[in-house]
Amino acid sequence: MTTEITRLDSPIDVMHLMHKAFRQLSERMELEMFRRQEGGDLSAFTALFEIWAKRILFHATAEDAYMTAPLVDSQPARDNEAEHAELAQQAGSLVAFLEKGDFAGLEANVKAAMAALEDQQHQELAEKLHDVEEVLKREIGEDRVLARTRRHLYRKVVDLRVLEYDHFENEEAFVLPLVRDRMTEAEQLNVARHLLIDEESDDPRWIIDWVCSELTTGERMLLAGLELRLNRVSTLHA
Amino acid sequence: MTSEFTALESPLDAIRLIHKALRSRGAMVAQIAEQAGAESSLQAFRCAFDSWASGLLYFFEQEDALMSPAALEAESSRPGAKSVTQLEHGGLAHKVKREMAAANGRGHLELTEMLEEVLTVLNGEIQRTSIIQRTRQHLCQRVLSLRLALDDHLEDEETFLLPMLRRSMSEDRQREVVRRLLYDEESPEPHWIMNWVAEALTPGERQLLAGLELNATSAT
Ligand SMILES: [Fe+2]
Ligand SMILES: [Fe+2]
Repeated sequence: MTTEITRLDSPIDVMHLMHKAFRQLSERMELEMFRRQEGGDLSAFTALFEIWAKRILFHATAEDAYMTAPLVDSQPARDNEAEHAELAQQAGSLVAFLEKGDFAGLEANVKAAMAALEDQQHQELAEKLHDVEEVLKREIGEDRVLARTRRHLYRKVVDLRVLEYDHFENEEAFVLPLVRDRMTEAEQLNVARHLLIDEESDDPRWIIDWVCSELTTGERMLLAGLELRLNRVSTLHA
Repeated sequence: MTSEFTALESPLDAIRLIHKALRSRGAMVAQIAEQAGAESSLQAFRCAFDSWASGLLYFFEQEDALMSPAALEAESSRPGAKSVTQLEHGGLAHKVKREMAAANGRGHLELTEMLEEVLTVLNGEIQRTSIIQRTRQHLCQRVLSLRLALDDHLEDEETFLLPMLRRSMSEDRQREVVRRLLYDEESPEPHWIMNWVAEALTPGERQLLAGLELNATSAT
């Protein structure tokens, strides 16, 4: 669902543009993983995942610090921060799964077999782990184990994407109205600047340039209009 | 994934055809979930899902009764049958394989819970005729999880349980197990499950099932 965004009623509505950019990226990432379900080179997927992870981490951190931290006594703001933590945790578990390599899909089987062996041979258990894995690999076949690992990976990518989409939707429904209510336009512009510009970086525009690259011509115009307002505010403050 | 079966090496291999039907009906449900949105497609999803779920639950129950470790033990006491322990000699590989075969029933429980999760999404979030985007996403996600877990489960069953059963059961006994899987004796329409499987197969594969000469009313 990529409906065109045609207006920003208040500065914080730039969030819709940013979320749209994230959705586009996530869909490409998921598609890439979908194509690699049976095997094949994962590097295009991992490259996209790294791009996504870097951006979502920056986005969530900036939101926590500049958008929700000022919203004291607000349950939706705290929920939003908790959702960021959950998203980070789930992304972390995906990284951990990736790091386990091609045979990670055997995890559940290994665990079940080890549990059964536990009663019988308590001492040599650790050494057995490798042997158990070897038996399973041999019986199921390496290609099929790899395909199984890829299926698990694909499932994790889909889970992560759905979590992200739910989060965006919650943020748009419960947090943005609060921001609109409680923050002045100037304050909202300040939040937007922290979301779009990375002042700590040698390339402060890396995030706004990426968002722009994911948008339609009309949406780019909206973003450019907002950036003009950002610049005006910062010149005023300078 | 959807390659055609051209021969059954033993009667029990008919279970692979059942698995093919379970997988292909799952793929159909997923496809309908992707399109779910309007009133008509939600109805179509409910129908396809109910049908898939009935088939799955039926086979889980029958397999637990006919192919569980307890059933296997009973099997080895039948006259002329070879005991599983006689066939599989000690050592780690043997233990791992036995454990994987024994885990089949636990797999059924987990899959049943996943089926229920799909129902929760269907019943809880949708008291309406059309589906909101978010619910559709959740539906697709749950159906995908279920399908992928089912893939693992069927693969394990084919790798660990079926070979063990094939070695311990006579051909006649295998035919009887398959007959009881494919004819629902508790139902006033015992053929429903055979038809359910057959619909997902190619004409050649249906011939393979027919070639087993199973009969809905044959005596044990
Ligand atoms: Fe956001
Ligand atoms: Fe957020």
